[in-house]
Amino acid sequence: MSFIQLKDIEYCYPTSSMAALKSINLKIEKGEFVVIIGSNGSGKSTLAKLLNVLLVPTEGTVLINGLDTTDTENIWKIRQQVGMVFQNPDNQLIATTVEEEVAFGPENLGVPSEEIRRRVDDALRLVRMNSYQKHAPHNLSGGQKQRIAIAGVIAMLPKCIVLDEPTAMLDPQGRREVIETITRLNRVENKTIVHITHYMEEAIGADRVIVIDDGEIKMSGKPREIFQEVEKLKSYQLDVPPITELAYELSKAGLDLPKGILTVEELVEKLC
Amino acid sequence: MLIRVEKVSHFYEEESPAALNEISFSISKGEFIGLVGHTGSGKSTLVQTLNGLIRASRGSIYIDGENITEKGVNLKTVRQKIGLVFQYPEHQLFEESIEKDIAFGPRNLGLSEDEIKTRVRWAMELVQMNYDEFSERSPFQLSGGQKRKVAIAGVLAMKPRVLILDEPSAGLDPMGRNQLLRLLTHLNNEYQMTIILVSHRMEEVAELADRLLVMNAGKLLLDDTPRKVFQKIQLLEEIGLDIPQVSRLLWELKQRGHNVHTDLLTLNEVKEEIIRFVGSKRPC
Repeated sequence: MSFIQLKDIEYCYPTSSMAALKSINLKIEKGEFVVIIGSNGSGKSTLAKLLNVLLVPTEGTVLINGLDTTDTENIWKIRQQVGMVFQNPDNQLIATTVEEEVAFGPENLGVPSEEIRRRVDDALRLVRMNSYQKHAPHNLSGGQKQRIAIAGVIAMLPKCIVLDEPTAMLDPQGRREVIETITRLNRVENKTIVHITHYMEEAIGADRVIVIDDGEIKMSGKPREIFQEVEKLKSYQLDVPPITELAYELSKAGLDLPKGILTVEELVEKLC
Repeated sequence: MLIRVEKVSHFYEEESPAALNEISFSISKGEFIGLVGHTGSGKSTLVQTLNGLIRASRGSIYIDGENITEKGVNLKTVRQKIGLVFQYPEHQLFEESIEKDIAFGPRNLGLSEDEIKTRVRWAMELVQMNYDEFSERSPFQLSGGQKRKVAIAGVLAMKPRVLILDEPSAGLDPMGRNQLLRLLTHLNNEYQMTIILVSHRMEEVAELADRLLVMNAGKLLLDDTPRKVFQKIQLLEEIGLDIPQVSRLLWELKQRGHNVHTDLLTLNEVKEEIIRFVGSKRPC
């Protein structure tokens, strides 16, 4: 059984007559790294909120590790398994020190204090922030704040982490830190990752890329398969990494290049 | 010369390291400047000294010939001339209607109601928001991208001669970003508005700016055209900046001993250069 299963999902916000999501069918396996891309208003954040019961579908079923999100008995069991990280780190951090921040979740679960200590240390080590335990979160850089928010989620020992545009407010270095961190959590800790973004470059390392537009899943496949569809992506108001677009233009002009080139290094190799 | 900055230094506290360290440069009317640098390099401090929000600890800044670092200068006039759009400007919206929010600045200038209304309409048209549809609506019911347009319209309604924007495209999706960048080009072309764009997206400044100012650790490291700046790949990497992918591609080819020009930035010119290079290459 897949870890996440969405069956015939439709979602309408109470204040709107238009469906934000329609006929969504999606399975995500345990340990998979999935990137969901789509422009503003495409429905990608709505989809994210369905995964840890911040929203329940108007129609259809969401199963998380077999648990139905419409059953209120399941809410906390699901939220413990699926952690969320949002766009603005400043809206997510509340404690006065980094370690208190990370301990907040497990404390609320009533985890014994020795166990909390261990979880906090482990989580901070995983996001490479263990030397900042006593620091005040508000003095950290944006990338560091997001890593603390991620550590707070990890301390709950979730099986899956959903990140809704975690890099949108960060500078290039902060973005690299966050992407590196979630990639490591996936590879080393085998966490299932659902990363929502509109930066196409961030989708390169994923197992699977899903493109959402107008509330529907339009494309789904390996990054290389998705990125070769330059015209189609543009029609969904998405950006294609410049190097991918250049390679696409070059092969249109008759150069013999493989489809879906993703990095500068790859293109250099093929040209030399 | 519209803006002249002479040996400006700034210290937030007496003992603290210089946030700005002996910066000098000039900007003429109608230029489109890209201001880039790693977080903490001094970009935001610099733009705030330009409209008098921060009084520089040392040095002089001349706007239209007037030294604004002197005591007794009317900073209100300076801020009318130099419009500053902060990061996430939508956080500063506060009025109950979009019209009132945009009118706030012009009203404080003491303009007539007719003139205020004309300016609000003009500014809304520029950011592509229909006046009749939006003027009475609350800014807080808009999407993030639309809120940002309202905030920018509020600055435009002051009719500044220089528009400074600090990371205006951060957090916008590609469509929102493209719209915003087109607006900046339009203001620059149609109204000869001088633009200073602070950005972390090198592809963005490479495409738009006539000239780049590169900051590092409080100093002005480079002041040159994007083509010249993006050839200094190693230097830019050392100071933690991204490099446009196409510039890196050409540079890598050159490193491997291939005969390519590296001072190209647009997709088209790079494409032509690669085609030329592949055609001239002897089969290996």
